[in-house]
Amino acid sequence: MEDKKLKHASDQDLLNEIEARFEQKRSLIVEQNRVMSQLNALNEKLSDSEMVKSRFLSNIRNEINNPLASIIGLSNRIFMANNLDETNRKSAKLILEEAQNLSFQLSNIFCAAEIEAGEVELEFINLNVNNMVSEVVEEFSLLSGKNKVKVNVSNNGLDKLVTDAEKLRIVVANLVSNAIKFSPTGSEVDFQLYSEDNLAILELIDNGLGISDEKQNVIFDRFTQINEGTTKRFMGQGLGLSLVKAILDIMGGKVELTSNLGKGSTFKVSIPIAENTVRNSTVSSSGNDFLFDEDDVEEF
Amino acid sequence: MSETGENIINSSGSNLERQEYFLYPSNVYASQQETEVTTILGSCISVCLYDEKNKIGGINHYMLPFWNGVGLASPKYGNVAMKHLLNKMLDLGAEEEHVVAKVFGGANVIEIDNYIGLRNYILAASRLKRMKIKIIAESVGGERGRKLLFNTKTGVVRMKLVKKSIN
Repeated sequence: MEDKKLKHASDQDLLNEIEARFEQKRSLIVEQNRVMSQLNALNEKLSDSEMVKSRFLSNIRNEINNPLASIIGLSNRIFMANNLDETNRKSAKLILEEAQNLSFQLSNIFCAAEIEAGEVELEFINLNVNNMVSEVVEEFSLLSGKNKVKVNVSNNGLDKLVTDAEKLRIVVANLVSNAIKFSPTGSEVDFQLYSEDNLAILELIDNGLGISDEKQNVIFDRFTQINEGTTKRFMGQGLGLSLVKAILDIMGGKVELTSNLGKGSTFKVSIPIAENTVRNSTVSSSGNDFLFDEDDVEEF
Repeated sequence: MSETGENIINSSGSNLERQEYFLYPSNVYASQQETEVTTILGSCISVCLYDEKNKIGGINHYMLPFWNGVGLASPKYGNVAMKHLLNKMLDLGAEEEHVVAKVFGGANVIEIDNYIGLRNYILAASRLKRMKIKIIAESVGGERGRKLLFNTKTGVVRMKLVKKSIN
């Protein structure tokens, strides 16, 4: 009798235990669902703010670039004017230099932000590489002011290239700016354009300080600037070369560096051309015919 | 940058307003103007979105389903390209509830390509479902590449299967 009672009691205990556990599991599931829906809401909020952020970026880009373009254009006009005394001309030149420098730095920052956000879209156009490079060189020669570095552009049969002009311009601008910045006063820099094995090559050879082997490994990392001694001698955020590499990655090209300390450096940019050019010319020469001879065409 | 884009060509047909555009892989294009967008697909996928009410069309061309977190998140990857395309459409004034989709590509052109075409297609279908956009037409899979001509004003896609494989 005693035994039976005990057994009964333990059954009851077991039942209670099961019930308690069931309750526990249930509340766990409820809790899990609550967390889940919280997470979902958070996720939605995040993607919303991501969108707002990228729209904000493209909005302020216009807000900043437009006034800057006016400053550059007008100061250039004043600088070029005939009837100007020397002091005023110097002031105008300074405004122009600083505004151009600011514009260059901003385009780097905006481009880096775009890449970071994964918002990069290449817009291919048929670009006259020679004109673009000459424009950039001219712009930076004016900026080189104090250290008077001469950039010689030579072109060996590389005229047109189907590419994203804006992005390639950023690549060229950063390389030219670096070459001018790190070359000794009065020296010359060679900028050679040519094509090789279906690659467009842009090669920049400077007589600068040169870069040691171990520094060559980090120079394309972000925010690196090679310090000579304890003080930073040169302006800039150290963004340039990492940006060059990132842009070329997107374009399917690459940048190579060969350098010896004290003997200068060579930056060699290569971008594939064959496929793009062929595709482009097929489209422009024969238009739709190339795609649709009207046989077997299905419409959706 | 004095040169103008030559992949936008004014067609010499009866309608002078109409433009032509060649869409390269890893790119996204959307417009309110009437544009005939051409692209060539192998295992890549193009999703054509079209707002039936506002007559706005857009198209992407992605090569791989997911950005794997290494390298750059560009419209080369389906998850990025889908988001991009819809954002671009909405920026142009499209309204989500009127947008419909047509999906093309995803062929199995190379025997050993780890079902890239299929994975690309699954990505498109799942993203569109999540965006609550209906697929009203599709031509996917198979072993042949596709040539597309997409009219952004009418939403009409003309497609032809190509003989040899591309991409």
